[in-house]
Amino acid sequence: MKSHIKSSRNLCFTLLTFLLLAGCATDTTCKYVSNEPIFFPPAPDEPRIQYLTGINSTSDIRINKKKGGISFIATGKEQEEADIILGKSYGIEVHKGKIYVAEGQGKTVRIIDLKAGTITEPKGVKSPAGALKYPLNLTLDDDDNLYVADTARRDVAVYDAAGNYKTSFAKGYGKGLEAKSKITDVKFYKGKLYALDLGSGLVRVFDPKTLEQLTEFGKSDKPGLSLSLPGNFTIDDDGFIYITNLGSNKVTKYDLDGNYVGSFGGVGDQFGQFSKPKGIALDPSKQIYVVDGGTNVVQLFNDQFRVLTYFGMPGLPYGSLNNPAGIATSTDNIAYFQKFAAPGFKVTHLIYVTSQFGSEFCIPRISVYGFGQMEKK
Amino acid sequence: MFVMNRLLNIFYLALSLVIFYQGTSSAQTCSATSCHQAIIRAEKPHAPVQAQECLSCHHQKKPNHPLLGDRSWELVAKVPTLCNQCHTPFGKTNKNVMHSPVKDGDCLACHKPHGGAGQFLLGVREDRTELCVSCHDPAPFKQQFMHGPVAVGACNKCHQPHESKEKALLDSPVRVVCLKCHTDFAKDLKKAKATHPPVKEGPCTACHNPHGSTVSKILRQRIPDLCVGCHGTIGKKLAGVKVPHKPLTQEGGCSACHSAHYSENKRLLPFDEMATCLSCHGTDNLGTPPLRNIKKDLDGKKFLHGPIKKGECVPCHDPHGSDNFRMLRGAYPAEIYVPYKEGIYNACLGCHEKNLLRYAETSIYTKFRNGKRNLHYVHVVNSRKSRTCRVCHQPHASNGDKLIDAENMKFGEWTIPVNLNITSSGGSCAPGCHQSFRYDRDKPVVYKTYSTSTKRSK
Repeated sequence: MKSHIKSSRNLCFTLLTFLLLAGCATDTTCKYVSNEPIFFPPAPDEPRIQYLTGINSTSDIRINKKKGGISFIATGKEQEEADIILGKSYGIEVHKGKIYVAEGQGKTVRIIDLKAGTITEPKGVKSPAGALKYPLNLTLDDDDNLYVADTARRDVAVYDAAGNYKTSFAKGYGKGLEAKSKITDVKFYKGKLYALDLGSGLVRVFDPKTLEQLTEFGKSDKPGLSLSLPGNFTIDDDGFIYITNLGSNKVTKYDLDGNYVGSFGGVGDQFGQFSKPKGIALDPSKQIYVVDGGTNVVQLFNDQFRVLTYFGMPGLPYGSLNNPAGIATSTDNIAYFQKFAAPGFKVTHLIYVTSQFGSEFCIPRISVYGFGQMEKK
Repeated sequence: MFVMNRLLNIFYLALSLVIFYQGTSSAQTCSATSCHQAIIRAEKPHAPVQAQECLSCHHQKKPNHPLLGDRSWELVAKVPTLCNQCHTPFGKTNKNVMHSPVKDGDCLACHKPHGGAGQFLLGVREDRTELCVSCHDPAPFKQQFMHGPVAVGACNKCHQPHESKEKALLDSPVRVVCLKCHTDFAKDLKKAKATHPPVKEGPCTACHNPHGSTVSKILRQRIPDLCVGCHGTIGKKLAGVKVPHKPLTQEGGCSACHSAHYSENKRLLPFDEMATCLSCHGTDNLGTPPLRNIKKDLDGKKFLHGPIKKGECVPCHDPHGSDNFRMLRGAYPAEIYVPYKEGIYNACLGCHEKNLLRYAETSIYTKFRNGKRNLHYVHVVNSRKSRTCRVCHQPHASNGDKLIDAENMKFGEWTIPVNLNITSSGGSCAPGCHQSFRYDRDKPVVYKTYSTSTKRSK
């Protein structure tokens, strides 16, 4: 009898230990929130940007997430829901509160819904025609149609608001350029689609209804005014296009007619220089954010191209980037992320940056920074 | 002998009585006799004098009076101690600014001790100029333009004669002193929406000389020198400006447009901005040759230039002056045809699309284009004959859209027809300048004289 009780007790302890370990096993080993605020520029300068948190998988955004293994044991449900872990990603865009990520490695687009606490993908990517091969950048139009620039498909795949694959374009245009053409980025702006052709060194403008090319620009007879391996671009509210050039390591600015307006940058690892400029974004006050893959930082410029600060450099306890690529700014979801900000630091807009590597060092695929300032007492 | 002795004794007694009587005469006798009668004849005698109480102030130190070469009477005490026997002494309160004679105890510097022609034992009547300038420099009181009280010598309307808390022995702080008389001004000032800061906070003497001046309104300097003393930026501008606003060079200066004290309107203008401008520019006879009557230009017009719609003139014109034609804020040619150079239309392109004239071909910077051919560029960017904006557009108002006035475009003496017709994708124009042309942004018209392959000039 005694031995029976003893063996039952042992069994109970064993079971409990197993369950506890199982519960622990579902918890991520990486944490993306710092106890101490990480500010850029660091003190004693006035903080303007704070690293807030990172998103690497569903567990980072899940609603009512319970911490610790015991909670998982209690519900048991979470164990059934497999975490969706983001793979190597590049382009990122925020549209109507949802975060869209072009996950090249996973050959898909991830749609992160912070309100629902879910990560989904357009169903069209599972269809034979809509299957992606290596999506690099993406954009959405006013009707929520999704456009994905895929460098392996060598076109732009289009999905409707429900995620169904519709069509593709930017394939086989031009004369004798098919072999060279390689669309790396796409943007929708005031009723037109702008596609950045790295291979041809052109911006190609398309009619979104007919998907016919309307015009193209980016080449100039004058030295230094042509695009040079353009990889990423953005368009501001006034209709000016800012393009990062991997060849010249410069950002060039054009109007919508393709007239060259100006440029900044140049090869190097100093302030205002780039060694692999990639994603580019503008914030509501027309400040320009340029991701530099070579130095693993994001540099911030004002609208006069003057460098203001930089962030994301390696070696930080939190907030470092690793081979960063895509960037997006948004005023959506501020309420969601404000809770990660230091007391008194009022976030005015968010900056999302994708890192292609570094997950083994607990660098999230998406690092979220808040731009703002300390409230005056 | 006895009789002689008696007579001699009577004589000595009589003489002694006379001498004694004279030596002990009462105060009444000072003025009763002819000796000091003038003292009591003063129009405004000192009260003890009027009461013939000479002994209040004087006492006899020697028995004989008068004494040849000496004084037999003296004051009972020295001035001001003597005065303070009856009058409250000065310098006992917190009024720490004292009139110099008061400070020195020299009451008699101003006052006549027995009586004077005016009140307060002064030797002057209401006009105290003579008394005051006996010490003070008379120059400020002899200016072309005099402050009223100064002109009539009523110095005491503003100044205390003995002591004060205020500088210059003023009765009260400067503004209070001024507004005690200028009550109508004080009343309006309270109601004013906008007040000139020196008027609101500072002393009136910042701008006005309180005594007199060679400048009208007893100003310290002529306008605009006075104004630019504080408004230095405008002063610098006026000093070197090529086209000044004419009123600034004339008598009224700044006050031609601005109220110096207060106003119901912004910038201390007498009316709202446009009404102020049109108060001069709404007539047919301003200047030689006369400037345009802008009021006529605006009246009843269907389309107004943006700033005018808001009642503003200053976005385009600098009201003080500028280096540009018509005091415009940016460059603009005075002639209607000029060789084109970049920047000569900055007055317009400061607000309007700055790239309007930069590219021969565009799809974004103007709707006045045939396909991508920029027709503004065609008309204006011409190194020999650039047509200024006003060849086609009215600067202030018109009855046609885009400020193109179909009925009132002047070409010298000819009111030139325009015949502009705007469509959803372009339009057509058949002015007196050239043959009829149509333009279309979406489906460009092919002209015989124009190749669509034309590239931009730079």
